[in-house]
Amino acid sequence: MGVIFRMALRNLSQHKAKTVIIGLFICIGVMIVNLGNAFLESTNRGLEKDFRANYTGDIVVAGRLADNTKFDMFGVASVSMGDRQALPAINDIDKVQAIVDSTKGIDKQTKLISAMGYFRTDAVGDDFDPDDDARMDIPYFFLFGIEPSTYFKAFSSMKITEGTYPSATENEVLVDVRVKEKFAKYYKMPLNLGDKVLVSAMSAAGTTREATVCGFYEQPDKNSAMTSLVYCTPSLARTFADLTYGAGYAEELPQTVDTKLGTLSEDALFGETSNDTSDDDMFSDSDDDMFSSDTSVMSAKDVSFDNILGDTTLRDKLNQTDDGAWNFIILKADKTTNVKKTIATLNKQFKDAGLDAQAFDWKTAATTFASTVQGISTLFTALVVILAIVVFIIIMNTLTVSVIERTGEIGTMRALGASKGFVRKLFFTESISITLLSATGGTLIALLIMVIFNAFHLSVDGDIAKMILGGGSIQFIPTLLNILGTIILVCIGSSLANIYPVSSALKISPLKALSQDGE
Amino acid sequence: MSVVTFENVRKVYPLGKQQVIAVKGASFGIEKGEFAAISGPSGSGKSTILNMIGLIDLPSAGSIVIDGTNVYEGINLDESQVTDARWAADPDKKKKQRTTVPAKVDKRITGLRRSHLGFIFQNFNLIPVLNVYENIEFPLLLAGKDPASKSPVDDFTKAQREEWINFLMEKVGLTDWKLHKPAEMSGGQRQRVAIARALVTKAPVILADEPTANLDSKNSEQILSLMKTLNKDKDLQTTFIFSTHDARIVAMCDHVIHLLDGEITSDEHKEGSDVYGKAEEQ
Repeated sequence: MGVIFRMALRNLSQHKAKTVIIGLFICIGVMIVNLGNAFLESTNRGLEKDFRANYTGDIVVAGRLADNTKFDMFGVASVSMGDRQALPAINDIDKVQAIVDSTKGIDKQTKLISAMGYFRTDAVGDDFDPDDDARMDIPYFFLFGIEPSTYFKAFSSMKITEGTYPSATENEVLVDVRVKEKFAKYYKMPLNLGDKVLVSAMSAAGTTREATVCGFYEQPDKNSAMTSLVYCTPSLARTFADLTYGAGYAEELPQTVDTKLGTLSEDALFGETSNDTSDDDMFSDSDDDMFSSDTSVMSAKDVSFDNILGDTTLRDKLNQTDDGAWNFIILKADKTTNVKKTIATLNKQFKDAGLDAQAFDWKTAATTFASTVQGISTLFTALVVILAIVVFIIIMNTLTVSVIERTGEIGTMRALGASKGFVRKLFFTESISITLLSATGGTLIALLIMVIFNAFHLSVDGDIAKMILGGGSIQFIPTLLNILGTIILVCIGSSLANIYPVSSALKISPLKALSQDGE
Repeated sequence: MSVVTFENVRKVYPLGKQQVIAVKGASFGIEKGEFAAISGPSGSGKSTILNMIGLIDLPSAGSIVIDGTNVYEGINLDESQVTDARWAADPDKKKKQRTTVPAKVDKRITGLRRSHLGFIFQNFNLIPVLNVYENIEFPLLLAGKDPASKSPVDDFTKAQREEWINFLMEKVGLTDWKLHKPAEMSGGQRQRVAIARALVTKAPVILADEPTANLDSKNSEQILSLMKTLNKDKDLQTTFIFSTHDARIVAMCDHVIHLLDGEITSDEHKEGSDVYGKAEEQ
């Protein structure tokens, strides 16, 4: 093996042009892959740290949608461009809560209602039209209805710059300072503590409620990918999250409601009856109409118009928010290492108890944000694969030319008694040597670039950029696993690139090979 | 006892849609310790025969025995032979001659090349990245597990090997050039390295294809004289086989095979040829 290694290194040194070309490709490729991996690692870690600490906790307990449509804390996954589908409430929340309370490994917990909205103000008229440069600054936000007594214990890193938490009973909102700035820019008026604002739903229904600004806060992490967020009283959020009695209990209509009309077909109401061939219908002036005839399908005394049109008590009741309804229970584990186990335990208990609830981790809870990072990762991987194929082909071509140039040398070695295996080992050793050297060089350059970038603490502004990049911080976190993985993959690729040219050379008879000029 | 035996060996080269019969059924034997020459004009087939003895070219038919081993036993050479009749009947048929052998036979051939044969090429064919010492040492580093490839030197200790290589370097007069690379040496010096390399495994047969073709007359004489000395060395007992049309070499040889157009026209042993085997028998 010693002679193979010695010959390999000397060959690399002798064929400088080839060595430099292949080495540069590998070096640059490894550098790009390491930089990309380190950036994505930083993004993933930053996103996880931020969201677990400030928004999703470690574990989220939620209900289920009827058709098992996926959702996270920020909405339902949908390709529809229509209204935002409401998130499910946790059914049998008392039983779910009891299971959560009895499960070990949970340090803190709080409940949450999630919706979306934007601020309006009575101070401007209905025909308000913002300036062109302010159109993008509409003060929209995720609306989190919280239980203040437990929420701010679970997420204590909140920086309230002015005012205080929303109360549990009044319609109050704790506003993100970014929303405050957008409000000022959009409506050309400041938003101050104690101001009354209109919170409107981001839907065609146009639900609007008045609320009082009880405080302003700054995000715990300025580079967070999290977009604007307003905290509010639970009852206010329930209005926008469709957590009304009607939404949950529409099937439980009392006996007093006359549902007979609902059972009639269109023909029965407006068409011909079996005994009457006239064109009269229930609303005609004829004495033979359905309300006077014994043969009609329904007599007037059977229909309670008060029930149908007059009494709105039930409707009002159904439209009231369900004070016990919540979308999520957010849990913080006492040890982050136990999260997977705790999730599994919770899900088993929910299933055993026949509850329509589920527990999942922060990443599922923040799919809206994590998926963009995942998308970037996939795109990067695709680019790396394309780059790898191109580099692979270039290396293979260069090696083919190199092997052809050295056919005479191969023939000499074969004529002197070298086996095919010896020749293969020699070329593979050359490949692995140049790959390892270049990959190490590429890794060192990448690490140097990372150190320089990290020293400058660069960051990007803008919600969209932050959301796409999983945060505003441009940092690199290299990991040993990523670095070694890259080097091993490049070595495998480089070895594979050798197979064709070396096999081709070994198919040439030693005689033909020897016909090349020797030294 | 013959160290090389050819029996009715043929070699046919396809040349486009034509075929060239380079060797037409050659049969001869070369005995251990001979200083033999295969001689003839250009294109007579002498290099082809030397290459077939050296197992770097495949015969189209016949058998070749090296030191008692029937080299192509078990491989159907006839299958690959293209006959005149076949070409005439189907000139467009793209039948290729066998250029490679099955892995098992290739292993046997590779082993024989290392243990029984040494090559001295017209173009020297040294390994450019190795110095003189390393080039000479190279065949010793190719020892495999196959007993067929075993050379007597493989049992040497490291010190004995070094001593043996240094001895060979001294024999060819390159002791002072030990660490020089081929590119730093003259043609004659490179050929001396090639001779030492050919001898290093104590192979019984050394093949030399026009060894003086790229050397001036002074270097040629020195090289030939060196080879003759090594041939006479009773410790080495090396058989030298040349492919040459150099009259000086032919004159020095004790066994000369003349070729013309692929056919052996004469196979003569000179009077008084001093072959160890024969001498011992006498």
